[in-house]
Amino acid sequence: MSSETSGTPLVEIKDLSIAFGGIKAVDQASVDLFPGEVVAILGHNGAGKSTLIKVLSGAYKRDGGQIFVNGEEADINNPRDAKQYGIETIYQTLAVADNVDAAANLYLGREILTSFGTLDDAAMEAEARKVMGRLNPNFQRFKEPVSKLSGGQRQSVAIARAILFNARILIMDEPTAALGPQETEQVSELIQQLKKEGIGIFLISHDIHDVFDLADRVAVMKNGQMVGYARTEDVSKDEVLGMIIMGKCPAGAVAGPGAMQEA
Amino acid sequence: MTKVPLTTRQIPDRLTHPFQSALFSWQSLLLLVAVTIFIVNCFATPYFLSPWSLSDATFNFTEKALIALAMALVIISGEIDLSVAAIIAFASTMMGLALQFGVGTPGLVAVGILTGLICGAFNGVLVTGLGLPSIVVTIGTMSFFRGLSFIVLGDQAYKGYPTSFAFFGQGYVWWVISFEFVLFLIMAVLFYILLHRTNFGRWIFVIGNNPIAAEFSGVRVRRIKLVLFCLTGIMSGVAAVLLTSRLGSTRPSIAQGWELEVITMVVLGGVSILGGAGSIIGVVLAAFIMGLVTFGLGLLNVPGIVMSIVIGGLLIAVIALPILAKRLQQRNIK
Repeated sequence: MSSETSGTPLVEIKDLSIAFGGIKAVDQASVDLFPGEVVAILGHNGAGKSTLIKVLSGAYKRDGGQIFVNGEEADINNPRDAKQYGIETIYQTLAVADNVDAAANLYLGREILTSFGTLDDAAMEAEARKVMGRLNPNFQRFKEPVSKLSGGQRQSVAIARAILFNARILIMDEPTAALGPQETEQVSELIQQLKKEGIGIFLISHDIHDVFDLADRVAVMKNGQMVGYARTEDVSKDEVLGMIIMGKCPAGAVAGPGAMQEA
Repeated sequence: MTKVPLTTRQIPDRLTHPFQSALFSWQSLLLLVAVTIFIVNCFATPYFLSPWSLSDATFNFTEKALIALAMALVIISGEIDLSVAAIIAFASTMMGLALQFGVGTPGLVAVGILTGLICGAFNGVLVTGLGLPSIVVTIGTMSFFRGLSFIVLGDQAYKGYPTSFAFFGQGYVWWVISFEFVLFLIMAVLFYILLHRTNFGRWIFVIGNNPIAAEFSGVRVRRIKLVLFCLTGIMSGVAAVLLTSRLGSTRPSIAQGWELEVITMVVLGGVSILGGAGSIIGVVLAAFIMGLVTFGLGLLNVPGIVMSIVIGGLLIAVIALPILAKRLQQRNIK
């Protein structure tokens, strides 16, 4: 894979396979991610990128292959396991619970309790104000259910929730797909800040324009297999498009098992 | 670019004042309706406004309301339990059966509550373990549990419960305040704390709104739903103890049709039938309203079949009204 990244990868997925009733959704796919790096996993709908990442986040169980976190083999069977390894997932549509407020979403599943064992809403709101103040200073509507917030505000709630609990590895599925230009800018600033803190990020997208400028590397999938890997500085957008559509590996990329064979 | 002096702008952290939103809430509407019905009842019949008469009125709804407290949690989590009345019948039958073997009062109570728990757990395992829709599962177990009671009892009835057993359904804690009513008030407080003040309660709301987000936040969605079905089972078992004690006998047709009245209470109390919203205070107010309406109609000699028409109409109205109001609102915005 990329020769310039060195040291122990934050995550290494090796020869991972998963099949649904005879259809190989992911076939011997490998990808790695280093601290402070953004890797975009690209591919058409049905290429297997979301399935691959859902195995990492614990939603699906793999049929074969290994996952290493910080060089040690990880046993991930459900989303709770993934959390213990510092893996947090942000889904575009599934990110937040609409009917409760931002603080309740931030602390969902890890609520702060009083000494009586009841919810400490005041403490959670105070913490939420601190975290959100860092990510999105304009955010003020702490007492409203999340359903009343804009797309960008909801996204910042989802991201804040992921990083609040010391996530080391962040998975973002179509992070900017539903956002306006200004909100997209906010999310990309946020990603830059997370990189500085040494967090590794997987971006999943079928639209190269959404993620090309954000990513350090791309990994392209087609029909469940890895077409190839490339540093974004070594390839052009058109070349990556060629990888996505035709499975054709350009000169600047490292070919994977799914690359089109030159006859 | 011209420099704009940097000033902070005050952005409100909520759009409406809490007092204002409380004033126009479903709960305050319910309170208004309850008071209105109370006053109408006072004028409608001279027998209504006496301590013993009012005490009798509470018997009318406490058993159903106890189940409604647990049912509210199930519905908020996005599921439903239609088998509660059948669980009462089966739990009562099991108590009668235990009576034949000479089991005493504490044992009878334990049998009733335990049977409820087992029935609830059975529902819960079918829904969460096999991933079946709860409406189908509990329609099935509704026939199943009551069918078991019919097999055991046929057209017979169990009678001869011990005198000490009568306290639960007929006893008074103080003056006109019945044991049933006190138990209901205590349970209402406990369920209020559980739903509105604990992380378990918050998870119930989140599961009803977005179970996948809950799962990805580390909430054990299936385990919580299993607990909720066990809880409705237990409360149905408790209701079975109270009802059996109050009637002093068990027939397989006991508590027929109660599931509808329980669900009407819950929905009338402002719990969204789609899940994700509701409150215990609303359910308690709705329980009082249902109790006052049926008791008032009873004093006016309105026959039972008319009462069930009233309750059916009420159920449709409370489900339809918020939906229609929302549609009207959206039309006005356009």
